[in-house]
Amino acid sequence: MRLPPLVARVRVRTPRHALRLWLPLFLVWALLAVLLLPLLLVLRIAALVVPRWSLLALVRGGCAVLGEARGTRVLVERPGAEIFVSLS
Amino acid sequence: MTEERLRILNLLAEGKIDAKEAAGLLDALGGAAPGGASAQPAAASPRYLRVLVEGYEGDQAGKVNVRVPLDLVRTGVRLAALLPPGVQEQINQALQRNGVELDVSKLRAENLEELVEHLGELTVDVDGARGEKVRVFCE
Repeated sequence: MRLPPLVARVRVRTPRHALRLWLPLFLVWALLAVLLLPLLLVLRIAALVVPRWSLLALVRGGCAVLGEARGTRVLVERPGAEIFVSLS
Repeated sequence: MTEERLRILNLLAEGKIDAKEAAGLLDALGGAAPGGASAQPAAASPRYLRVLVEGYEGDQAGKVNVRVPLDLVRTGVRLAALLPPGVQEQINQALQRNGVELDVSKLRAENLEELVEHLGELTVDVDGARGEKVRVFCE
């Protein structure tokens, strides 16, 4: 399984402002892992109530989507303005 | 044919070396392709889906440039298989309302592999009357 994106680069440029952000997503994942543990427990109970749900498959699928999102780039430009997001 | 190869073949023709020696010498020249050009590597499978859009909103020109890993698309399709049947039905109906005839329940990762394979050779170019352009391709 691949690691989720560890860093996000965001660039926002408007006629008045320019902003460059380097976001350490690895910190976010670490924080979320702690915060989501109670939610996982709730989901586990929900999966017992609704047997069609496969919790493990859902969690695996979610992690896989996050992992494969690495390399995504979106650039939107118009005269004088630009938004760029890159996950790596 | 390279000069070295010709020289080896001439030596063989003149009887100065035997066939075994010639083969050894040719092997020693390495895997260089005839003509001196090295063999081209096999075409790598595409890794990214690219969507480039150039358009206008009012009088202002705008551009959108998106690069999405194809693995993300594959994973998304696999995840769609986890959707409960009732949800898949609702998605199908919503797609039909928007003019897309697609049955989400029939999406399979194997089909997607085939699609991705063919996408590598395909480029979609759409040019609008006002100079709008849409380009979809894999790289």
